[in-house]
Amino acid sequence: MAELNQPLLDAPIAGQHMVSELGGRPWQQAPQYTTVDEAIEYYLDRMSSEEFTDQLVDVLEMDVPVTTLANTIQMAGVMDGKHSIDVGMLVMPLLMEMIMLVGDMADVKYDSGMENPNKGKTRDTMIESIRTKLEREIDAKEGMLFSENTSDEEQEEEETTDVEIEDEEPKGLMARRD
Amino acid sequence: MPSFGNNPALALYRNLEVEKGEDTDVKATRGLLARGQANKVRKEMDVQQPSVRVAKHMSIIRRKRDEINNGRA
Repeated sequence: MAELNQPLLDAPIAGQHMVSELGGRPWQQAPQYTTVDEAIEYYLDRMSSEEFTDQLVDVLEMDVPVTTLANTIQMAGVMDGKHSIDVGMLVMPLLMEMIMLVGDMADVKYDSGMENPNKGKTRDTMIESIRTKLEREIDAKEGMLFSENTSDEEQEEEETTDVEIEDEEPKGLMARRD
Repeated sequence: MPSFGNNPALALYRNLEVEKGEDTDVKATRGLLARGQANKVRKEMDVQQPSVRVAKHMSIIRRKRDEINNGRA
């Protein structure tokens, strides 16, 4: 655990990516395989090797999604200057299919990455909408109660004033009496 | 369609029309001088499109996968 708290001294310095010469990286050069067919051939050759399949099966057993693996493999191809990003995007579904084939052949229960990870879980938005509805209902009920109370009080007040007016008798010495 | 994070793999996989890559029957030509159907079929299948070619490869692999899975079941 102590090792985790150590500062990463071998991390790249900010702006380091801009110091290398233009064209000094493999992905800044013209790609090795320019067509989809060439890229497919390259990947099929690579993926059919025993070493690769063994490693792939190990990774699949670790529950790494197939989508993530395919994306990583094609991205590595782009970084190595094997093909362009466009070709990588076109080839990616095939990589997924190949990975799943390897998984099926090895009888591994793999995660295809195509299922929604939030499926079956209660959505935060749903909770929020229910809370808002309840708040509105409570407010509406409170408002109704308040208005009922006030109307009762007003009626009582009116009645009492009427009574007071009726019962009032002139009290002064000079007041008129009927 | 849900997109989980920045990974475009799922969208690409679902959007690829694998049905386009399914094999179509090529009728054999009878006469010796009859025109070959290969060009016509190629045009119909739109094989010039890279995505169609990928779909074709995929359909082959998928068929293989189905065979493996059906064999187990």
